[in-house]
Amino acid sequence: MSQILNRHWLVAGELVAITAPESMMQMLAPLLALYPDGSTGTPTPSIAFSITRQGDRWRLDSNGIALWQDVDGGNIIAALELSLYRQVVAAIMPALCSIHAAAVANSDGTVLFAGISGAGKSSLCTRFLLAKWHYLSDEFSLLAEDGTIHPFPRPLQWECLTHPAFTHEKMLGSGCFTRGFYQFIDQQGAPRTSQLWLPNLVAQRPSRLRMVVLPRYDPNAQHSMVPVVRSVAISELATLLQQPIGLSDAIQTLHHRLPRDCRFMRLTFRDVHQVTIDCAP
Amino acid sequence: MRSDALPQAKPGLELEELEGIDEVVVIDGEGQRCVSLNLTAAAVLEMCDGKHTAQNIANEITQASGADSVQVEADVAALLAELTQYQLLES
Repeated sequence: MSQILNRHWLVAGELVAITAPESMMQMLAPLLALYPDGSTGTPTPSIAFSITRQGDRWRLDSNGIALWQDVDGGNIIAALELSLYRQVVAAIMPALCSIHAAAVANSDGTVLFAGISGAGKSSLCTRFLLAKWHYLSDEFSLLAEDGTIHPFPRPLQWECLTHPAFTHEKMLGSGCFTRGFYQFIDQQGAPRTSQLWLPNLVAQRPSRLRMVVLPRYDPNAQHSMVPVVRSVAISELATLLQQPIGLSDAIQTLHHRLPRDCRFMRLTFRDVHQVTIDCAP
Repeated sequence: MRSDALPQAKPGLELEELEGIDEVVVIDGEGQRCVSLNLTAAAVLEMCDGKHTAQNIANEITQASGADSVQVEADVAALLAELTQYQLLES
């Protein structure tokens, strides 16, 4: 019989508790590896998950509500991951607004790569992590009232097991990443492997936002990076907020929170390795 | 657009002025999209109420700004064409 464990993490400042058998906790470990330990000196968890075994099925509950049951433990992990992100993004409102963007930082401050899926956020994020920038997030960029971006360092996950611009050898040989996995059964009943890339340099503190890049990957286009007027950038960012506020509120919130000296750039790229960023103030 | 045309903004547009930077974001709730304008363009859009002709709009701007009327008329015509292109005016 597997031992039941209870662990705590600080995810974007929210205390998250998970109770699960040791075997499931081991499967969860790569997903949670980048979040600080939350077991000391913190109050009652705001988000709690419990994984239990009932007969031949696993069961996932959160804050007393049944979320998922499945014979496959990997599917329970996938359900927990999805629910964790949703609950954290909801819990941090209104202190932090979550933008669908990747965020990396150097000593000058933070750069966001904001855009819809397929725009190239994760590729750009990976390119700069390989250049020893610090990781904040590949999906949830949390903007505070003081113009800083708070870390939400979930593991990077590519849609494919291999990335055309970054070989596994390059990723692992760089010393910038550790690799993790979890297995699950997809909706067609086929076994799938989710590959997780864990950056080794993770920002531990909020960092001032210096630049927002609106990228577009286009294999047939010429490389270009041109300034964008603030209101145009805000218009686009407003549609990328991950919390349920209207466009009107989103625009004003972003305008008040985005630092006045933040620069906005539109990037078109076909080779991620050609992209350079100077975010010095 | 002719100078005696009566341009009318699409119903339901919301104008959000961005304090301190003289820029306005127009929210088209129906189309779920945003368009960015400077303050002058936003003022022209607000005057597109179906009662002011393009000429009336140009006259009001000329009076308020003291700018050359011929230039203002040309600018307003160009701006109305752009607002039409961005689907902010009723066709």
